[in-house]
Amino acid sequence: MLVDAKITRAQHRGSRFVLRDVFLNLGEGESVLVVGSSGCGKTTLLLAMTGVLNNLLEGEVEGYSRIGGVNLLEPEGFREVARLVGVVLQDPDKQIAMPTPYDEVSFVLENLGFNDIEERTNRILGTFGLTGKEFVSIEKLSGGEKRRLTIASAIVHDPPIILFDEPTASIDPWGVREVRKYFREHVSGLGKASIVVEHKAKYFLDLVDEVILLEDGVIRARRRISEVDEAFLEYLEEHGVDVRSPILIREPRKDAGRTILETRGLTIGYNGQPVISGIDFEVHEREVVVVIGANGSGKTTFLKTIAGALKPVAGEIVFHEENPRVFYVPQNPDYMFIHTRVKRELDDLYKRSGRIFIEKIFSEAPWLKGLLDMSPHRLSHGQRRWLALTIARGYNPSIVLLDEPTTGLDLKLYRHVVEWIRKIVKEKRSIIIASHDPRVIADLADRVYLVENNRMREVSLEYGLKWLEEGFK
Amino acid sequence: MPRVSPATWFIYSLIMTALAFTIRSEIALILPAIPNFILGLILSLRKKYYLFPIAFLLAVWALFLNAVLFVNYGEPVVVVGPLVIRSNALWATLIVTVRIMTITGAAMIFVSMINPRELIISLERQLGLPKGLAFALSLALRLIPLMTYDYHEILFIRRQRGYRTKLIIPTDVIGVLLPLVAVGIDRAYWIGIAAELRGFQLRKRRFNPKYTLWDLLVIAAAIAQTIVSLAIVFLH
Repeated sequence: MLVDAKITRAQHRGSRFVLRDVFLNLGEGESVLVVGSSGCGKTTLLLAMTGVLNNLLEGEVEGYSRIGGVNLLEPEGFREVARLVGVVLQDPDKQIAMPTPYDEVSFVLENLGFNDIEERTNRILGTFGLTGKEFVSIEKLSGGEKRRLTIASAIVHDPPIILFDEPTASIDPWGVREVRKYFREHVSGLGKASIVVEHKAKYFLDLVDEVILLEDGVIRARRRISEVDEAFLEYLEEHGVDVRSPILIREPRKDAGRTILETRGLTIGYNGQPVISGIDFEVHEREVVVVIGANGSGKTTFLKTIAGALKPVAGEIVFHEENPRVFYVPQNPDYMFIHTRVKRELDDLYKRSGRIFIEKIFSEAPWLKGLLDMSPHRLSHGQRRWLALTIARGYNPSIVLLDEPTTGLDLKLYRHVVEWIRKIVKEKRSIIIASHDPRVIADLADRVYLVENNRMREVSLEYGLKWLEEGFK
Repeated sequence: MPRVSPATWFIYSLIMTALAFTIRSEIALILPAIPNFILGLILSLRKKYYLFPIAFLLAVWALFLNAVLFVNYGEPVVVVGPLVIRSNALWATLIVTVRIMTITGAAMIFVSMINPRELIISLERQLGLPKGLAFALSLALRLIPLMTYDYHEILFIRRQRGYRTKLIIPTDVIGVLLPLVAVGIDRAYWIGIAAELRGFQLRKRRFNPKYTLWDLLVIAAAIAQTIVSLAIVFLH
């Protein structure tokens, strides 16, 4: 067995969460998909298996984790982790440490004392389509290129096992297609074993040999891929795992009110350089409009221009109301918090929206009462997302602009966000969402605009959904 | 321009800055100040780096105003209406200006001749910079643009929420620093883990100094300027 891990107990320092009795065995070329909702212990499992949890983070791990016969839980074994394991983390911006692609790839080779660093680095950058960008600043790479770079850095030193921690979390469907391609060609195709941690199981079900469902730190179910049937998929879905493509079953809303915002020949961009030109766009009262497009196509720039953070390059934005109230919610909820305690954020909302609003918040989220003295930044990802959206709601905007509001959310949290959006539409607000998540179209959109080749045009819901769904295949 | 190692330019700038700070005789500093400043200015303008020349002009203007306000005595030199500029104010401006010229000149040469990535590699290989420090510098290069983006996002959200974007009182600073630090810590935590998983602890010190004739010439130029300046100090 290439991988023989038996984690009987694993725990972060100072955390109450405990991972228990997780066993994993993988031979050469075998792949396992570990699924489960947020907070079920997927990432803790990877940290425990690689020895990071007990050797670096002062956590506790009982059991063993042998890769190629080396127990990574022992300090001596942990020194070998880089030779044995390649790792691709969830967010490339939290993994890439060096300023250029060349330095990023050669970093691991230098650390491990390779002699053919230049040759290997150039070869792998070529394989992953990064030739010509070796010395470009990382900031100038697209989201897909950054993801490719993290995979290239994980396999350049030819480790026998590759670990993927939610590799599709921050990328568009075309990025997912590339991840799948490189997984097929350079991981399973080259006989490497792999562990993929994901809650969007649908992207990997056809690429792995086994599926493991984690819940509350224990293995709830495991199946060889040949035994995965409809009943098992339903079971996974019940446990917050995204296993299916979204289906459009509802009709677009017909009760939308008057036009409250429109753009005429709007060109948006940075420093006078156009990103999207000639945008004719409109949004009505009580309407959810979804703007779709690949990473880097200009969706966020569009929202920021509407919000007033960026000036239009040309054209005009017309609000058909006296005091337009637009509120932009960024992709990262941490940017939204100004105060040191949750309570102070709520006090702020109390001043703006009154007692009834605060009472409504507590009735919708009773768990908030136990977290009032906490820093908003220390809440869980789902809680931070919820609080950011609630702050936006507290400012009583007529148009809410949401930038990728479903990124990194499991099915359960995703449904919470959908519910939240439906609720505020009922409060006679309009929503503009920038997203590349097909579920958003299926569950929320009244109308869809597509950004492609520096232009934006309205498309039908069916077309938009198909466009995104076809992207990753 | 022949290839001079970034570490050599670093040493050169360090020597010039040390000279500007340690030599008390301003006359002795005129020799390094003028050629360094002119060379630095030419290189900066060629690369369209305007920050240092602008900062220099502002600093000299501020020095002059300061001198006119506080040490304006001696023989009158310039009379403009009611304003009389006296010899001591001009002399005081001049003697501090030569120091600033030396430092700014060296800084402009340094900034124009290196790129930050090459500098870090060079400092590690040529000067034996410890691996932890070299990694921290590389990481800083990587994180500065990310943190700049974070900062602008945070300021926009503050504006949107009706808070000041000019940081005047401590709560303003806390309101910006808190999210900046929270996002930064999370990023640093995962980058640290990723670096360890890619064998950072096994990394060996890469001290392999190789200097070319051009490197030696640049260092010789710095030493020559130092010797001449010191000689002038002793002769005076």
